Amino acid sequence: MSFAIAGSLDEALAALAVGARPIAGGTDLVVGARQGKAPLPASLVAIDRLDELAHIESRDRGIRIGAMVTHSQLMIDQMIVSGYTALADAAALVGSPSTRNIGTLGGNVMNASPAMDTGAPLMVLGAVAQLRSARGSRTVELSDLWTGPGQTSAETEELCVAIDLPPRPARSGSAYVRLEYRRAMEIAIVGAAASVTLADDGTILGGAVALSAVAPTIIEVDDAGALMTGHLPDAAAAAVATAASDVARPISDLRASDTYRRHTVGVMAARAVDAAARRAAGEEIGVPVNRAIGVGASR
Amino acid sequence: MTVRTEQPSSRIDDGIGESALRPDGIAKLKGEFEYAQDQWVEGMLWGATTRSPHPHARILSIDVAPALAIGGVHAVLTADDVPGRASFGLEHPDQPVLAKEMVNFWGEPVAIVAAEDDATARRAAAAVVVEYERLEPLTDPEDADLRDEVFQRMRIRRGDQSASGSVVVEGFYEVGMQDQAPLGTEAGLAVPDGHGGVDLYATSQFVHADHEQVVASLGLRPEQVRAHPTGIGGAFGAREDVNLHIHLCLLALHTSQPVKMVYHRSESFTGHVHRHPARMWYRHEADEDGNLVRVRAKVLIDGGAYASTTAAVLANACYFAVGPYNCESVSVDGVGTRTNNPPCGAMRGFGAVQVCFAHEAQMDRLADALGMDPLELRRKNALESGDSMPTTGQVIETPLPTVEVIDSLAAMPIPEESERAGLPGGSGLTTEEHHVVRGIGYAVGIKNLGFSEGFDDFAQARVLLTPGGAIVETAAIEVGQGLVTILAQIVRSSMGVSSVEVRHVDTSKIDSAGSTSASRQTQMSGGATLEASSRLRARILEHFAGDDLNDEGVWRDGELVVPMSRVTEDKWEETVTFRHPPTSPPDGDGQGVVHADFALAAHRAVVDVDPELGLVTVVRVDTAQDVGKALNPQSVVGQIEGGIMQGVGLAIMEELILDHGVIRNPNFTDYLLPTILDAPDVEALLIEKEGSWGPFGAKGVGEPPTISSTAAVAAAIRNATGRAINRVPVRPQDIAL
Repeated sequence: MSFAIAGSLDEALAALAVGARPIAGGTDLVVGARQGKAPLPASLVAIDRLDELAHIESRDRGIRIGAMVTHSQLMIDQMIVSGYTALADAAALVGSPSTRNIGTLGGNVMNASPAMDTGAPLMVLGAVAQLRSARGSRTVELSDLWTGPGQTSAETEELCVAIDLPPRPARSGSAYVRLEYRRAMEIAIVGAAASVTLADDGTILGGAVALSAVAPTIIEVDDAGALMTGHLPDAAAAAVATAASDVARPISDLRASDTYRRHTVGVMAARAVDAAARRAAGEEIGVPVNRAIGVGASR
Repeated sequence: MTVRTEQPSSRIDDGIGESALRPDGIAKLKGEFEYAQDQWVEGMLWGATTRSPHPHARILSIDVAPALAIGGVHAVLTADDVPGRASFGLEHPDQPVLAKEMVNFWGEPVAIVAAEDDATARRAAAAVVVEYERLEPLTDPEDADLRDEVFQRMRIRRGDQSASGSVVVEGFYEVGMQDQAPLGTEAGLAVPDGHGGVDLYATSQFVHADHEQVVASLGLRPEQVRAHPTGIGGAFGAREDVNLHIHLCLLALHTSQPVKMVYHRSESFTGHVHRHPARMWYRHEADEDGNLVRVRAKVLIDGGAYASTTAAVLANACYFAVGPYNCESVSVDGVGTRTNNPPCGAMRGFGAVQVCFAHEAQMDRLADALGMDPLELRRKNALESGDSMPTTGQVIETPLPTVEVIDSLAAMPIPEESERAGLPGGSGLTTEEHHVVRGIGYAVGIKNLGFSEGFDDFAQARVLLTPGGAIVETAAIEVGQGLVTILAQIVRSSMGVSSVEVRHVDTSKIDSAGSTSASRQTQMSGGATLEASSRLRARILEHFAGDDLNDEGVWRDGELVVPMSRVTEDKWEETVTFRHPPTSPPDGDGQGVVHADFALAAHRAVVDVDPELGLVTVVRVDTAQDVGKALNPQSVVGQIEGGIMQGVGLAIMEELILDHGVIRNPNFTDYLLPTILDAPDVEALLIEKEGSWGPFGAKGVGEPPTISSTAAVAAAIRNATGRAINRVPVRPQDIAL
């Protein structure tokens, strides 16, 4: 087994070109290997010292989040909390404080778990992934990136270097809600993210809804925007609930039956729309890090 | 045996009734305490276990050569290498040390290896080639009952079996398989003594029982094996049975080297026994005033593949099937089945926990049918001192303040609706206040203390007075409950000496203290310690013709007559074997004086439920508990808080999920334990009614907190949702769908 520490992005890409796999926080890779899910790759290149990938930047058209940005950064960053709140909601819920301190957004996206927390928010916020390899770079829509549980359309030599998010229209809000059985160290049973833009009369001008843990990948409720447009948030939430339950293709496993997941994903989608619309209307609903003990970002 | 137990004349710090600090507390907090997992000796080998991947199969062949071929492997042993008795068991030796012809549960040990490091040992264990012929596993306990695949049946008949009442409620109840999930996994070290014998330092609740089973399977003389108490990170019943003990000694004697073994988490889940899952059918009949007229119950518990303590758990489930209520006409039929599920055995409150969930649900249903307040129904039927146990007919001689416990709990303030403990649905935005429904539920539970049914239950302890202070020697195990604190407090108060050290000694140096289970050590080893220290004080006073003893020495008429330095020039030592009042086995109808003492607790749970999602937050659990005398109030509250957490876990999340005998969630990702963020606030009232035979009137306090807390949470969820809730753990889908 070989392990190299990349001193620059080019070094990392060169290592990937000859078969190495990237390691950042290691919260999926190392834990998975210890649990026997998959052995550690024979060749690893550490990208955790590539500071150039660890920033959140405002750009002409939206923001760029470096792949090495941690969940802890996301949940308190003012640009994220105020403009892309659903992503802060999700980042704040991942694992434990230590997971959030070391786990990265790029890692979460490329691990492609159908139960990942940042996926549904990124989808409703219109994110795209920036992939780089020694041969060049490309931009990929998330719906094209995630192809199955743990599977992406990225080539093995490609590294996710950033996630780009478009600017937010006025009177927009977003939220991510996750169903979990206990207050810490949890994995989503189901999750839902919503993004909503309001018209001056309080009706919905447009938006999107995406779901976690109810299909082989994060999925978008395709007609959510159309279902919501022109309606007041309550009616929109009810319509989205039915559509979300219909589009879900959940499995039965240790945590829950498919019937329970199909039922609850509708409830959760409606609650996400409700919270997103209230945020869009200016209500302050805090990013919810462990409300039980009052730790974390307050808004 | 009566002893002069005059107390010292002056008050002593950290004596009885005070919350003395734990001597091991700071070391445990700082990570300096040596747990069994931390043991290390120069030149030791590491052991690992090859386990069956099937719940039921015939072993066609075992090839150890591939494992032996791995560099650094010193031994690979199978059933053929067990020199003595091929099987072990706490009550019946029916479980193979290593499986020979058949495997009867998933994870059953088939071979053991010793190698130079842990990773090599595990690689070697995986390299043993076992050829199996798979057989259909028997996993449905009701099928097992029909086929008469049972470890034990139990029959209780009391009173007029034709009695009937005008108000009748019937119910079926189910309890899932809970795991003790101690944070410290099974671990141990065996060290050969160079003369054919061995010293064992392994996680245990009962070193003398380990000793007996190791001696039998190794074919050694008792004096050749010494089982030593060691540092334990939690037990809850999981450490009563042998698991790695015989394996370690076999490997150590075979290799003539010390061998250490530490189970990984997933292995721990298969390597110890679990709480018996139960199915229970009940019929309660009452008159129109709410007096219980007749109770009938059928109780089925699944023992899994081997006997372990199934008979004792079943007996408890049957004896306490009615709860702490008077009833003159009772019939209970119990069965403990044998299947290819993982073996089940002791866990905190064993047997009483399962039936409490059922009898308390029945009492609530009955109150509802009568249009009566549920607490009023319980008061009306409360079983008290002087009453006869509804099942066995035994007259209760020790204090049992059932009405006072219920009244004290009922008088505690109920929290305002606005008082939240966080919202259901974890820490996210899942649930908001307007989604939540509040519910409140009560439950009362009872259980025996110490061993019952004529078992010769004893505990030995030795107290010495030395120039360094008093010393207690015992083989009773400190599992984290605080026994070492209590024994020292007992000596301080009874002897008058403030410096006391509790020393754990091995099986060759003292007789058995019995198991650290059944809430018994404070009463049993505490009783032995009190008697030994009282006798020692009396002997010293007699010898020096004094009338008082303290740290300065012997006093007479208010004057120091012999300084302590002179007193301890002599050797002072007293060994006592303590026995509780005798019990007898039951007759064919389950009747008789089968129990030595009883303890009781009541719980009130307050829950917030999100009915649409089926999520529950336990806001708080308040309790009143019959403790006899609180020797260390802080420790009692610690037992209560921990016991309630385990009860809450069983109520809403803790369950081993089986699929045809295979445990699907042997890890802490999927076996959900409540975290500290899920812990409800707890307010505990200690009801002290002296008169029990425990030291200073103390009763055991470890189990009652788990017995009725589960039932109270379930009742609160019923109250909030209107759902029947006839199964714990309550799954969100049971509420939402």
